[in-house]
Amino acid sequence: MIVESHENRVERKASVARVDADAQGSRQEWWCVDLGQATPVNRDHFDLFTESLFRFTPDLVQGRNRVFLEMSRTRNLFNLHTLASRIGVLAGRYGFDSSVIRFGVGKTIPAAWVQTRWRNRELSVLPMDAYFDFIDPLNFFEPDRARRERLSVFRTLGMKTIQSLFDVPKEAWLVRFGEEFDAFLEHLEHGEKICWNRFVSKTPLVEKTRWNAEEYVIDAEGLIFRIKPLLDRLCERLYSLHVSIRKIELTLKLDRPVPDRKITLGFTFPQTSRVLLLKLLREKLSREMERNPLSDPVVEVEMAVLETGKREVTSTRFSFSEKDEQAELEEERWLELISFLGLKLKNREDVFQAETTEHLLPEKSWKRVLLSTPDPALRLDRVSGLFPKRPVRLLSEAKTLRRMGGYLKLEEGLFKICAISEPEHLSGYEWDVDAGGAFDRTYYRVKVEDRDGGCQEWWVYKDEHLGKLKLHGVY
Amino acid sequence: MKNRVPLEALKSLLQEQAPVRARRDLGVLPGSEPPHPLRAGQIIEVLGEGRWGWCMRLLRERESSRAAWLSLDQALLFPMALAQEGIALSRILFLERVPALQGLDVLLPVLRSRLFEVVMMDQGLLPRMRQDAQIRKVQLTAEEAGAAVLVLSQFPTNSYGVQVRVETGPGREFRLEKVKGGTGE
Repeated sequence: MIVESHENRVERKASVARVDADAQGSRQEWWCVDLGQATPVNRDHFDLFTESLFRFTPDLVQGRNRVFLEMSRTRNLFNLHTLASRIGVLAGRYGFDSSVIRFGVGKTIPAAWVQTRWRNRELSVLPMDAYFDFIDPLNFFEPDRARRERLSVFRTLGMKTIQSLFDVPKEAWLVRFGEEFDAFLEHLEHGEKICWNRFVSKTPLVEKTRWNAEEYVIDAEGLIFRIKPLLDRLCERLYSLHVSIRKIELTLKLDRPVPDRKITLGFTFPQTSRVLLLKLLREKLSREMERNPLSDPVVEVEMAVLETGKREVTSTRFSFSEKDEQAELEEERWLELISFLGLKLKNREDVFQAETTEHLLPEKSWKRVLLSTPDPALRLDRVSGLFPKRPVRLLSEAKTLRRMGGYLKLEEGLFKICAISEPEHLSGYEWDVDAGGAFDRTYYRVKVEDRDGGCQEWWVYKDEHLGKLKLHGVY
Repeated sequence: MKNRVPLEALKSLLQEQAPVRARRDLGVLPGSEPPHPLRAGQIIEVLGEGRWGWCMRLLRERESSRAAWLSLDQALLFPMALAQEGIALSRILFLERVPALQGLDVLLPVLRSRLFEVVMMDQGLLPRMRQDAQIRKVQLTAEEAGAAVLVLSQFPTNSYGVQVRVETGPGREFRLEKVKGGTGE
C-alpha cells in the first residue's frame, strides 16, 4: 500500500488542479452555493466549509462567499433539495447562517452564478447589472466606481437587458471595450470550455483545544475526554476528503515551560472508525501514562494527522445476502483486531501472515504479509513436490554444531547420530547482490538421540564457503 | 410445611431456564484412539517432541478454519512446511514476540474477535498455577468464541483441562497419548 504524507497529497493535487474542461465537453452541470453574505466571510471557516463539500463531488471551484460544484458525475446520487438541506447543515457547523444561502444551477459557472443571483438566465430578462456577473462569476459582488460608470454608459445608450447588447454588432463593443467584452462573450457563449481552477484543500489536518490548568488533567481518561471532539472534527474532515488515517500525532503541552510531549500512533491499515480510533488512543495513552507519568497537568492538546491512506467506500458495497453481510462483519472484526494487536505488540510487524517466495535460501523462502481480509480460501501456495519435505520448525538463527565422531555437539549437550539422509544441495545467487549474494549449502536430515533416549530429526546444513555445520530446523 | 417446591420440580425448572449448553464440536484430536473430541472452550496442553507436527496435522485436517499462532519469541513454525502440507498460509495469523506478561491481553482479543477456531500458543503466555480465575476466563472466552486453545509445552504444568503427549514413531506417524483430562463436557 502506497503511503504518502498529507502535504504531498495536497501538492500533488494542486499540480493537477486545472482540469481540461474540453474533456468533459458540454455535459457539465454546475451547482452554485452562495452564502448570501454582504461581506467576505471568515477565510478559514470558508475553506473548511468548501472542503466539506468534497463529499458531494471531487470538482469544486471556490469564489468569494460562493462555491461551485460540478455535479454531472454525481448528480444521480443527489437532488437539489437533499443537497440544499445537507449543505445548510454543513454551513451551520462552520458558523454560517443557512437561512440566507442561495442555490443555482447552470451548464457553466457564469450561468450558475447568474441563476443564483438573478433567479433567471434568460438574456432578454436579465438586467444590465448582470453584465459583470458573466465576466467575473467567481468574485463579482457589487460594482466599483469604474464598473458603475460602465453600466451607466450602457443605460445611456438605451441598453436595459443583456439581450440588447446584441442589437449592436459585437465588433463595435470589442473595439470600444476590448478585453472586458471579449471575456463577457467567452463566458457567455463558451463557458463550458474555460478551465476554472479547482479548489484544493490546503488547511492542515490539525485540531487543537485548550483549557485551564485548574481542571487538572493529568491522566489518560481526562485527556481522552478532551481529545474526542478533536477526533470527531478530524474524522469529519477526512470523510469529506475520502481518506483514512494511517498515522496521528498528539502533542501535549504542559502547564510548566517544559518540552511538549509527543505521542505518535500508527496503524497497520488506514482507519476510519471513530469508535476504534478512540479505543486505540485510550490504549496508547494509558500505556504511555503508565510508562512515563505526567509531572504536570496538561493545558493544551493538539492532534495532527501525519499520514493518510485511501478510504474504501464501504457504504457503496451493498450486501444482498446474509453471506455477504457475514463477510463484511468478519472483515471489520479482522481490521479491528489487526490494529489493536499492532498497538499491543512492540512492533506492528510482529503481526503477520506468511507467503512463500521463490528464493532458494530457506530463511528467505517466505515473507511476511498482512491481508486486509480474513478470507481463509484466498490463496494456496503450490509448493508441494517442488522441494523435499521441509522441517516444521525453522530456527531464526542457525545454531553452530560440531561433529565429534558419532555425535553432534550443541550448546545443550551431546547428541548421538542415529542416521543421516541423502544430501540436498542448495546454492546460487552469485550474480544477484540484491538477493543477498552467493550461498552454497548442503543440507542433511539427521536423526539424533537426545538425553532422554527419544529420537529427534534435525535439518542440518554445511556451509561450503565457511566449512561450518549448522542446525537450521527440527522436524 | 406449606408452599414448598419439590426438589425435583425445582431442578427441572432450573434446567429449563438455564439448560446446560452443549459446547461446539470442532472435530477430534488427530491420532487419538479412541477419538477424543475437540470442543470449543477446551484448553489442551500439548507435550512431546511431535507437538508441532501434530498441530500442523490438526490444521491440515481443518481446511476451512482459521488459526492464530502466538509465540514468545520469533515464530519457529516454518511456513514452507505448512505450505507443503497443503495448508493455506492466509488462514494463519502469526503473532510473535508476545510479551509474557501480556499473554492474556493479546490472547483474549484474538479469541473475542471470533475469527479463529484454533489458537496455538507457547507455554509461558498463559498463567499457570494458582491463577484459576484467569484460566477460567480464557476458557469461557474461548467457549463463547467457538474456539479451542492449544498450549505447546516443553514441560507439563498440570494447569489446564486436557493434557496430551504427542510422540512420533519411527515412520513419522503420531502417537497421541492422553495424559489426563475428561471428555471436555
